[in-house]
Amino acid sequence: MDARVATRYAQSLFDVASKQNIVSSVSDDLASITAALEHDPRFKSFINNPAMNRESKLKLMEGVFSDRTTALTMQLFRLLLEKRRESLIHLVAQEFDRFRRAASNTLFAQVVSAMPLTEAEQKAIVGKLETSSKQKVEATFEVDASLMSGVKVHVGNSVMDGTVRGSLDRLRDKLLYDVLKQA
Amino acid sequence: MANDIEKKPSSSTTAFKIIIGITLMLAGGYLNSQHTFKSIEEPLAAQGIPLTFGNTISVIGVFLILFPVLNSFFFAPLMTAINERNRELENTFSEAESLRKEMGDMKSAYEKRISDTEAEAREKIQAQLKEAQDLRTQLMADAATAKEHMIAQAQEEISREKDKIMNELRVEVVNLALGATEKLIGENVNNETNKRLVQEFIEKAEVPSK
Repeated sequence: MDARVATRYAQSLFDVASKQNIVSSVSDDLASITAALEHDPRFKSFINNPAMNRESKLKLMEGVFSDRTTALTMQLFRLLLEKRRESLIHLVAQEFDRFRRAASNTLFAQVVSAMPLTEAEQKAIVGKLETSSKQKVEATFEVDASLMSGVKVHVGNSVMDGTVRGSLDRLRDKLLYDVLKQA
Repeated sequence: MANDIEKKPSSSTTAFKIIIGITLMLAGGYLNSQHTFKSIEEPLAAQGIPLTFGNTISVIGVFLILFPVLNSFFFAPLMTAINERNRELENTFSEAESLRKEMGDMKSAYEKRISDTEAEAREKIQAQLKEAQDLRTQLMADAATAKEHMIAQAQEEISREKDKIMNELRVEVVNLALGATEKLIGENVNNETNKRLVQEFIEKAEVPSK
């Protein structure tokens, strides 16, 4: 239910931003707001607290973001506060990015590696993905030590797994399939 | 005869007898007072037979008067009672006879009923015995079928359990082997191998077409 509502808000926001040609700025605004919410739990709990009144929340948001964000982004936040949907800001940002990427024919890739990648490795991976898909690629990079070694990329519904953990899992599945098939 | 005794004389006959009796009584008294039979009586008295004809006639008259009275007030009720008693006895005998006959009939019916009941009981016992025998046969057959089914089921379950344990054992062997492999690889993974794997991924990576 929340996802559907967030999609409607994001669609409307994207339409208006496209007309005003500020899609990229709005995307950056939403990214900075969600990053602030992610990194400051007190800020997040204040915004999501239903007991706090709307004026206090709006005052805080304007105080922090009004000089760094577009008027459209602040207008969206006012609307969310008015409709008591402020907890959906994260979902709205995700959906907005999805509309933005779809409009600009951009792929989103989530790159997870066992060890931190160098900038050159990151660029090489993105370049390879763009060459392979013939689309622009936006990527996020994460580190997960449980992968042991190598890199894994999620693109849409596909996963390209070049990790030792992935190889071991596939080997385990194959062995189990074989031994259970023999039974 | 009883009926004859019981039969009452008609009132005219009774009245006639009473009148005759009175007449004889009075005539006897008169004859006695006139000594009419003195010539006969004296010789008889001399011979030791003191017979007075006048008195005798009077006594006969008295008896003639007395007899209907006694008959009316004594003999007739007595005879009626005797006859009533006889009738009651006859009725009692008749009833006893009837009851005896009835008892005989009842006894015959009872004996026939006992005989029928015994025959019926024998038939029922035979039927019950046959039914019990059939039931026993059926139960034995059912028990044999159930036993075979249970044995087959148990064998199937044992086989299934054996397969399950074997599969668990195989899975455990796989997990142990992979655990050891993982440990061995983990000890040998370093930055160089990681870079080599990343490089291999970059060379081979292909985004699947939609």
